Amino acid sequence: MIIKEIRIKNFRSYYGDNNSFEFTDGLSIIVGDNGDGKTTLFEAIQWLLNTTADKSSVELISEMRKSQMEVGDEDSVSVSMVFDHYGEKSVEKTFTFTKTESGLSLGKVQYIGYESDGIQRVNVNGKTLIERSYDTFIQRYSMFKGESELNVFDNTTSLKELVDKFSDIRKFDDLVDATGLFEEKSQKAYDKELSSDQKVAKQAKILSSRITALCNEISQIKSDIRDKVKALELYDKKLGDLEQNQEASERYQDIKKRLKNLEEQRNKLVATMQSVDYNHSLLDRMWILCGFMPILQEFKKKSSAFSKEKRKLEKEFDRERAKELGKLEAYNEMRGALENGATELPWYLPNQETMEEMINDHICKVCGRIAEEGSDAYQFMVHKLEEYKRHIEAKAQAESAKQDLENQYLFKTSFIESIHSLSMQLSGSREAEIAEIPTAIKDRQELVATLSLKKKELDTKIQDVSDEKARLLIAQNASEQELDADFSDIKGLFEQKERAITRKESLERDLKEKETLYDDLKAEQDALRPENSQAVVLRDVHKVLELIYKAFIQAKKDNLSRFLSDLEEKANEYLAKLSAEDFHGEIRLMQTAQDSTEIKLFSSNGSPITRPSGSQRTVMYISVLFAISDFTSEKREEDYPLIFDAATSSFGDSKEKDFYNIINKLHKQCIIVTKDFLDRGVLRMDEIDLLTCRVYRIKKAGNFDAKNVATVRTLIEKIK
Amino acid sequence: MAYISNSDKMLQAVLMNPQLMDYGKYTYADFSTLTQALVSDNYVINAVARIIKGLDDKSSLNEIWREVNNYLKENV
Amino acid sequence: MESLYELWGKRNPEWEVRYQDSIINVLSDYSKGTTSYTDVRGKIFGAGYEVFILAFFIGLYYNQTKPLNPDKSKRKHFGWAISNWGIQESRLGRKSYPLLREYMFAALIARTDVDLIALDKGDIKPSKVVDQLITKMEEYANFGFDFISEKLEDDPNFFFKDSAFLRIFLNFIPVDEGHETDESDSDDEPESLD
Repeated sequence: MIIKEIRIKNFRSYYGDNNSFEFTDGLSIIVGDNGDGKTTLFEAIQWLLNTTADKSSVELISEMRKSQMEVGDEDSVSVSMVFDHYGEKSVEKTFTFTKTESGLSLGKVQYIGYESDGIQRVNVNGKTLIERSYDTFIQRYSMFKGESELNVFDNTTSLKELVDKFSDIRKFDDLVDATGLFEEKSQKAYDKELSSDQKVAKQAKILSSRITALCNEISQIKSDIRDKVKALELYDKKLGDLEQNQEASERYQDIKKRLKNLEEQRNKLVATMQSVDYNHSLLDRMWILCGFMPILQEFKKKSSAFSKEKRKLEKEFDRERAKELGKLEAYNEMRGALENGATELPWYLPNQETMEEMINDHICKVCGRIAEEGSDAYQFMVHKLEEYKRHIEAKAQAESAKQDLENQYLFKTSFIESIHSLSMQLSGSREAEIAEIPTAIKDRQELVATLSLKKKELDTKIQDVSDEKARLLIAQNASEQELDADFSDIKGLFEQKERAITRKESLERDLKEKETLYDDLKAEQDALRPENSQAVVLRDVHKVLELIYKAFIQAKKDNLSRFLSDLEEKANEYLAKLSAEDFHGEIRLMQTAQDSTEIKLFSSNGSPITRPSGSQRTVMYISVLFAISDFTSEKREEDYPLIFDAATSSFGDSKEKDFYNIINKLHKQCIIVTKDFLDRGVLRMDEIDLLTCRVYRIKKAGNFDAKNVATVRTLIEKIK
Repeated sequence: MAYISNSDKMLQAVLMNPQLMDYGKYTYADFSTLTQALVSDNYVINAVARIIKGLDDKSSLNEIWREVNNYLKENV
Repeated sequence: MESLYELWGKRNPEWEVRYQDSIINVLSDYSKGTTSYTDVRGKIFGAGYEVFILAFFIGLYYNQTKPLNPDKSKRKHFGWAISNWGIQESRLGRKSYPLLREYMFAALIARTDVDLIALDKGDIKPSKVVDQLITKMEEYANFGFDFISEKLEDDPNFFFKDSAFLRIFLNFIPVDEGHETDESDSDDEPESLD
């Protein structure tokens, strides 16, 4: 059977109807990175072929398609395959979905099949078409998701199935069971007969019970031995794991340390980058003043101008005032002359009291002359008194005017001085600080840009180291916990193993003794000469059946060995073709105590390779798979494609292209989905150019939002 | 060579067992296909053939047992 | 006697109510009563007045004013006098910025047509001068709010981009070199005040 084409519509990350792959008869590889859609492709094929999965499910529908739909819109999910299987056929598995008010309503899953009868296409039942052409058994040996599924013999059922399907002789199990049953029955019949024979009954009974008891003991010992063997195998495995996990663990610890280191650096960077919030800094660091300088200058000029103007006005005012004051003084001086021109006594002589007395007494107390009312002298005195009073008054007025003048200010408040003082404050170092702000901002922005670049670098480094870690884990087939474990276990395990070996050896000795005893007892039993001829007959019947039973067991064993040997031979043929030139070794299929088989690799000098490298393991398993596939094609006269999803690149030594080119020449259809040939999202075209097979690239379409699944879709690109 | 069925192969594989051959006193020449073995004079060969045929025919285990047991009792 | 700066500091500038929901609540925790700074999550700024300050500077730098709506019911204030702006203690990654007020005041003096001579002579009352300064402040901010509002209509996410505000202000950095050569000014000839 050859797959010619696969189409995927609206299945998870494969949005819309334009997603198809065309395959050749040989190898097709599909290159994609984690998250690009590799596993989804694989799961789409599995979904198509799984005829028991008949429920339509919302989770399968492309998120992107879902997010675009309006109420009433309808679309469908579909995976279809065109293939050659005794003629061209196609099959599609699909269901519709419609957007409603409350969500999505899903249609039933349908299988639609077509066969070509040479002239036209005929509609057939899709489900049975799949079950006929590509049944579950073949799927198990044809589709492998991830390397962990590759150890095909890990469970006894699959081995049994393989043997049954492909070995020379089938259905041994039923026969072994039947003849075993017959042996038991004949034994019972014989025993019964013996017990009724007079002569030997007693002896027979004793022997029989001893034999039965012994059988049980032997059975128990055998079971114990099997347990011990199982345990020893586990110890060996564990010790092997531990030992070489130790080395892996050291590498792992180193990677962990580097990773931690890098992440710490990155976190510090991010903290620094976030430490300055641009918006807050506008106020807190006063970055908002980055354009303030011109305004500051305006302010300073204005403030200075006001200050100068004020001083100027004050000076003028003072001058005016001084003038006024001077005038007053002069006036005061000129005040003193008498009306009739005569020099008078100074105004302070006589004083007011004296004058009033004189006027009262009508006598001048200066010269003694009587001054009667109405006389000149009297008038003179009154006049003088009035003059005196006037003078005092005028003086008082002048004094008051002077006071007034002197008390007068032009400016009552000093707002301008405060403003000017503010202006001074904002100069000098404060002004320099403001001038600095644009530089400070620019510096910060440059710093953030530099740190941002550094962060990107670190992010890439972190991704690389994480990838390294993943590769290590996968190559070791171990989990993080296993590699994290402490290796003081080893000593303890060794001791336990030694003890188990000792115990097993003692059990084996025990067994041997008992088996010898058994043989003896049996011989004794055989030697019994019963009178009863019937007993003799039954004895012989039992003997034959016992031998027949053993013969079947042996035949079954031989059959299995032959099958494994054939398979091994075929696998080694492939191994030789697929291995790197410098590797010489062979695959051996070894049976284990649990009736299953392990695939092991041995070097050419016969020593086992306990921990093959990732690429060696891949080659080993693929060789076995190809060998099985050969058996299939021989038995069914029909070939099946091998579809293999390699979770990670096993080839660290760039032997990929050789490997793939060889596979391409093998006359087997092979579809491998891989991460090889990718370097951080970019294809290594020089290596791809050297490939002879078909190559597809799948990747997520750009501009997606990692937090929103509806923005993610896978794009398919045919490279060659 | 004529078509060899799975049952024929089974028969041959079992009968080639040395211990069985020894006890039953027969040789390679004495058996070939299942059909032939069913009419063999040798009771071991015949018994094995009957067992295999019984399972092929999908008879019940009890039926097969009865037949084989009786046959052996007669012929051993 | 209190200086003009102190008198100005006692005031509470007004802004138009229509900007409360579209701008102030969007960009700050104003309606959550954040003066205690207990809840500074999610919004860009803590107190509402911080948005006012930004709007003010936008108007100042563009040197454009927009008069306030004369209808008193369409205006409100923060109930938090200017003297309290930017003086909260540093916490939750914020620092106090008490000096910023001085610069705002200086800008208002520079740009408002105040007759300080008349003021010092006693011909006009200090409160009248402060009124002028406050009005100028409000009108600058009003222009700024308008500016912000238009930007938000175009792109509601505009100011949530990290350096959106910063870039607006960076446009105003003076370009000519040699602008700041002379630091002292005490001997400059004053411009005429006529």
